[in-house]
Amino acid sequence: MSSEPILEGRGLSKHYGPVVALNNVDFAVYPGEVVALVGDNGAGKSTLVKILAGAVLPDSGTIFFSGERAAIHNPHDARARGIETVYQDLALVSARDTTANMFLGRELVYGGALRPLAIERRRAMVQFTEERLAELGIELPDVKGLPIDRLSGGQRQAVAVARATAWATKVLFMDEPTAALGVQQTEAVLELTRRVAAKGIGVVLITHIMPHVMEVADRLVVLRHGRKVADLPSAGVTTDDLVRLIVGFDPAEDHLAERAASQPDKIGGA
Amino acid sequence: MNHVLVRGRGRVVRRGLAYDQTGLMIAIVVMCLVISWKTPYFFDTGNFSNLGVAISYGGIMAAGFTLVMICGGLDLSISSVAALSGQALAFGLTHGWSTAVAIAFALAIAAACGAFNALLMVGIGINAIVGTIATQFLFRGLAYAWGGGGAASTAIADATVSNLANGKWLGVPVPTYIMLSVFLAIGFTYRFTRFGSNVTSVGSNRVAARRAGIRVGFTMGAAYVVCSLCAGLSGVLLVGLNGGSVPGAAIGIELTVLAALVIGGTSLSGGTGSVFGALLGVFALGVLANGLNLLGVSPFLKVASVGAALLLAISIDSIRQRRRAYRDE
Amino acid sequence: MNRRSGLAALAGLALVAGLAIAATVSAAPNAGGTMVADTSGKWVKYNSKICKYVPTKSMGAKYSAVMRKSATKYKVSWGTQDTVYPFTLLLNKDIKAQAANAGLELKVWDNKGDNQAVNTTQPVLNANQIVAWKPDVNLWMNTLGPLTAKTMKLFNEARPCIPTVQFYISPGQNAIYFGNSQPQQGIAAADYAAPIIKARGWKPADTWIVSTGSVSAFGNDPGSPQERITYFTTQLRKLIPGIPADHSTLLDCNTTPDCRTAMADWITAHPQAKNITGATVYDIRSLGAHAALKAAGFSKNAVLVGNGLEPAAKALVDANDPIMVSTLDPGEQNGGKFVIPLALDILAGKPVPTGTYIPVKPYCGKRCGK
Repeated sequence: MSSEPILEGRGLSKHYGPVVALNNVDFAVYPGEVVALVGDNGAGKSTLVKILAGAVLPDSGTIFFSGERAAIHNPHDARARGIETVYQDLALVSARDTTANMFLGRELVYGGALRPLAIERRRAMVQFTEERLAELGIELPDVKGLPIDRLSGGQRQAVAVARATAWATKVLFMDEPTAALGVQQTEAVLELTRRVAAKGIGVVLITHIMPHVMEVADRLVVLRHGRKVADLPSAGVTTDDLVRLIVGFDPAEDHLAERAASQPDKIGGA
Repeated sequence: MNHVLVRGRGRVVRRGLAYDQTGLMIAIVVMCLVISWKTPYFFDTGNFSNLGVAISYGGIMAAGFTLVMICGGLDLSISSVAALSGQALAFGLTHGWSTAVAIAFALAIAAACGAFNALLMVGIGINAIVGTIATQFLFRGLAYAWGGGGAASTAIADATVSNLANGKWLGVPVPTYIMLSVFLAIGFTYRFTRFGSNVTSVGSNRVAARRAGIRVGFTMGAAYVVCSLCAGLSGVLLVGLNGGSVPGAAIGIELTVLAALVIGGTSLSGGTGSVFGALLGVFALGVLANGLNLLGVSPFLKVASVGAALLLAISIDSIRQRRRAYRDE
Repeated sequence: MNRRSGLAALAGLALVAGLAIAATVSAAPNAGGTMVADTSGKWVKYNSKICKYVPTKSMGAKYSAVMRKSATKYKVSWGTQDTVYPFTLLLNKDIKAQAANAGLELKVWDNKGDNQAVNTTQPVLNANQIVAWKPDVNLWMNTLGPLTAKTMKLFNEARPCIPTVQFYISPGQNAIYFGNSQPQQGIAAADYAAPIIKARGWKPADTWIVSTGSVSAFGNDPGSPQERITYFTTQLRKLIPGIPADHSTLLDCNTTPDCRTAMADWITAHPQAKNITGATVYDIRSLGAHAALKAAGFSKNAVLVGNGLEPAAKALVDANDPIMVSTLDPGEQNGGKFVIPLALDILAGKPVPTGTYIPVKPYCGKRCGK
């Protein structure tokens, strides 16, 4: 793992009306690591990822890519730099086959790339898809002709991850990739995560499932109410510690409550 | 490296010739056999010639309509666009324009209608059913108003236009060639070009398509324009078939076109469909109507038959959709 | 100047003045003209005390519609079927013109009965408004049968009385009828076609009567447009005896391409039909039949009589087309010249026919007089 982050956000803030989604957050992704971004609902995880992936513009803050200031104002800017995202809804087209989904929006065509009537290079796309899936050890019944709505949930997830990793040369964001999966498929996705990181890509995993975090993450970043409250290597961190960080439970505060309970008069006062 | 993912079941399905079309083709063959068993006049070159003419103008519309439907849209204004294009053609010809220019003008008017539809349904985002019914009335009203007012037809005796409708080449009616060419062009585009891929992607999951960088607005807009162009071409053909431009032309054709599509395997909710299937659907309905005519069936039964076919097709489509939903675990 | 010559001069002046006035009056469009219509043979008078038409002695089979200027500016309501169809447009135009000539106050309501959306609420709304306007006489064209009873009830219960003239639909409930006679149209078409068929030497045994109409749209009740075809068929058989009893049929179709397909398929299924003749409910259909006959190679062995004077059909007749030999001109462009005098007669308490029919003329183009 190198010492310079491949993607970094400094002082990122975002509010939606009166609601503060992110408040002055610094976040860095290093090549080849898996960093888990955790926090309760509304902590700001999705917002942070969307800003770094270009889907949302921050109110303030700066983004750096490979150490230089980067203008990432739309998803295209992000994708052009090799930053890909697997969203919770997977963003797959269920009526089309795996190859088509792999190349969604980036189809290989004969001749100029701009003409919408350009004829597609099916065979090349199929070959590329098969290679990418093989690299990640994903087996599917057919990458050509089988609409992906006929695949299982886990297989669809795999296709989404394979697509993102095929194009993500630098950073991969995954938003709740295991939320809807069974045990076996979860294992498969986590394994995939490790393989992707092993290729030198920085992987950011948003999840609220503690065991999964502990299984794959090299580093943990905890958000609470839009602020970063922890950023530490995962080694030695227990699930309990993590929960406390997420929820904000401080043993010191607990003593305050005990004292209050034993002195009812003082508490009763205005 | 462990291959951790479970192999799924699932059939291999080729995109063009889906399982659905095989069933339809068998149904058509059965229908042909039953009809020719009951009447000796079905299997006759003259009758096939008539059939080719009868399905042509609806078929051309069906090709373009399929594209819009797969893309997730709907265009119920096609009948009015056809009539308006016919009026445009009549305007050009009665003002001494050359046939080619007049036809180009008629198609330009059709494209303008398509662009207007695109502006409403795609640009503003109006619901397609309500929006295109509104434009159906709007374009029909314009057709009535053009050329003097009211529903009066304009007699057109132009030789080229007449030949387009009534001519034959190598024994096959010209309108049939036109229809097949349109299906070929649209089918090829749908199957082999990036635009065709985008049409399916946009229709199946618009959000995903947009996130992937596909120009959703352009794709849908283009589909509406292609649909209207087909309706315009059909309108030009109708002028030749009718002997003139009739402002009331093609009223009600959209339901037959819709039936043909759905029978052919295009889903009402968009995302999946088949251009070849639409051609089969057009053919199936044409054979059905032809058979009922040859057998001298009561007119009330004839009117009911298209409705019954549409109902059957929609039911099959609903069952297919439900099966798709249940496939997720 | 003595008194006699003075009187003579005065008389001369008066005569000249009178002639000048008469000339001016008759030079005004249609003021003072007379049109002759066919009638049902039964006559009535409107009794404004009991607000009813009462039977009176028959004045014969013809009605003379005398166009004149009215001394009183009566209020006339005109509830037209639509403002879309060519025949309605012609009717509307002439009624407006003649009402102006007669010096009447005409107000128009649109019942929106055109093909697109046969409106089942507009006529009732209009009827209520008309009653509120208190016209002296009501001209009413609503061809939706089920609404006739409802709207007529409104008119008949209105006070002061509103005498009503019903257009183009079998009148009921205290109204007189104006329009085309369906039987008359059918007979006129047959009368026109028969000599042509005879001159072409058709064998009746090889002749078929194939008309285009729409039972599914109009139904078969008396007074429906379908009646034209029934009367055509009966009259043609009378004029050309020998056509077999089962040699007539009706093709049910509503649009030109549909009728083309229907006729084409009928021809395919009846190769034994050597000669084909037919009437139609409206030219939109006969044009389709024409296209099919032409495509199948028929020429002198087909005779179609159209209906409605559609420009495309008229053009065929003008071009001496062998198949489309005529289209019936229903005469709506003169509708006002009949119905305004009728209205004035009603108001003057004069006898009027229970049914007044515009004479139907087959348009014959260059064929006329042959």
